[in-house]
Amino acid sequence: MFEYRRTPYLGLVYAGVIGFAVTQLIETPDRPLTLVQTMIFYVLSYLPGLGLAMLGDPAPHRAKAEYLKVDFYAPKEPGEEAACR
Amino acid sequence: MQVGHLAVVGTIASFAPAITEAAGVPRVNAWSAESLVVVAVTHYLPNFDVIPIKLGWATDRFHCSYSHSLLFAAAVAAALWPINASWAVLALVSLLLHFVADSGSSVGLPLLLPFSTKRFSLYLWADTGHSGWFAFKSTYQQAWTWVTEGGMFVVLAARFYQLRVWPFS
Repeated sequence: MFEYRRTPYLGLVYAGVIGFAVTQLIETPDRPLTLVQTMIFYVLSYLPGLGLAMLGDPAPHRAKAEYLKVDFYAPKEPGEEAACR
Repeated sequence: MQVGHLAVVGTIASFAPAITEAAGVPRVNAWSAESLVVVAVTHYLPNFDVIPIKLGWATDRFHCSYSHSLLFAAAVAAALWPINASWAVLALVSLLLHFVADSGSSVGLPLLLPFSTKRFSLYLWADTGHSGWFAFKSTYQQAWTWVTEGGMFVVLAARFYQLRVWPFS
């Protein structure tokens, strides 16, 4: 899934940035986020953070390029297209 | 988009009052059973095109065809309008956001069917089939699926906070 060992760790850095930005953006002064609530945002931010880190990793790019070459919707057997009509 | 559709459903249902009020139809409460059912069913409706494929009534190419067109969205909304105008509005928004969520897939959306077969795509990730473990696994080997779907879960969490829902109550 990753070629560089740093990719999942880089994802943590991006998650920190995203989590910080989101909590700053949505938190209102009358309802400060608790530690657990803040942690939820930081943990969830790892998902897009990992994706951003993967953008700099060759393995996901290679996977995408390989999959783009394949027609996953091509009829699997000769005559299948006609049989379904 | 695969798992991320769940987050999109939750987010749309959280905006149900704003959507229905803006459209001038009877208000539907956020995350009410009504909003969740209507949004979930209609948001996933385009992907029900897998059923005839699985039953052998259509080829794999039927996936992401007519069910992913603007005409289909309009037809579903028009069919629901006489039954419940709020459902029609929520359905239209849910269907259109399904198309937005799928716009990154290389399979492309034939939005203008049956008038044009042109497929629209941002080509953020390669489509690897309509169902099955391989399609699931290979989707998440690609970067942009994590960015978009993960991002939607962060948005959903923000809505939980804004609407004071557990664990943000």
